[in-house]
Amino acid sequence: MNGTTALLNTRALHQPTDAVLLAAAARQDHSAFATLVNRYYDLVHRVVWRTTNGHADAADIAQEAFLRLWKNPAQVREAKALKSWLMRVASNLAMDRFRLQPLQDIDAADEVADARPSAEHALSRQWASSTVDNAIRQLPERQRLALSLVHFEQMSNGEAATIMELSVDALESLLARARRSLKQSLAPEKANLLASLNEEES
Amino acid sequence: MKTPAKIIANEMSDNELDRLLALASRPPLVADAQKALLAKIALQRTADPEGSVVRFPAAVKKSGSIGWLATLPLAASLAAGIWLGAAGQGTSYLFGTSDEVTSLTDNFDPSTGIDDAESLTEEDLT
Repeated sequence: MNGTTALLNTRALHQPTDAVLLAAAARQDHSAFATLVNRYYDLVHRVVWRTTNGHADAADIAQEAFLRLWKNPAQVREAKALKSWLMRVASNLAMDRFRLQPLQDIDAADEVADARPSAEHALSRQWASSTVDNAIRQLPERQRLALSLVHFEQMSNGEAATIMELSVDALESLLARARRSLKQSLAPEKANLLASLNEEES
Repeated sequence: MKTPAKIIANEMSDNELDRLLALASRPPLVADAQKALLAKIALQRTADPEGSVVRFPAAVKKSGSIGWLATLPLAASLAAGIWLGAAGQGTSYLFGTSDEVTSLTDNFDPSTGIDDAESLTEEDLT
């Protein structure tokens, strides 16, 4: 073990746990809460962003989840479940907001219109990304959330099921349906997409 | 019967799908989003430092209070009651005395109570 690794491990050991930080946050300790924000904000934002198809309100929703935590940290009954709690609150907020106010992702819609395969840009990364994004966008929100947690955030099925308040079987069913839908919608462009990917990788 | 799309979909392996998903856009990093959040919290703290806690006004202990004097009449009343009871001096103040007690020998029918009523018949009046 070299010195750097040892130093990193020592630092990791001295990282305050969620339980310690949460208890301090309950006493209105601003710096403890800032550490929690630093630890989980990006993750929460990424999931909300995917759940809302990249809507501009994603940052507001992520912030709202943290504000709820700040106002009442006692809502989190077990500190070890803090991450799940944040993800659940944020994803519920996202789904509630867009249930009341249908999602209109103007930016994304423009991108799709502009990025249709053409002679010049058929294999461009932008077109490929838009095509995949569009396929993900077509998924029902629960399937999109499951895919986001498991595929993009690489959580275990059990962890994702806890966040979504589902059984593991139900989560796996959602994931299977999501993947089947994606395969169907991406199939017509499969060859071009893989070519684009190969071009990028080479 | 399978549609052509389904046939093609079946040909796409899980590995291929995973590779294609790697093409999906990545969430943009919102600059200073965390700072903005913490600033919002700090602002809330400044605006409402006590949060949602409603405090009762603190109890103030009065120095040199003469509130204990209120107990004196009560103590005097209790002492007087005990003395009168022990000495039998208060009997005359009680309602009713022993001579007002209804005698068991009185002609009284408890079942009706009308035997004691005065006779108002004409014969008795004349």
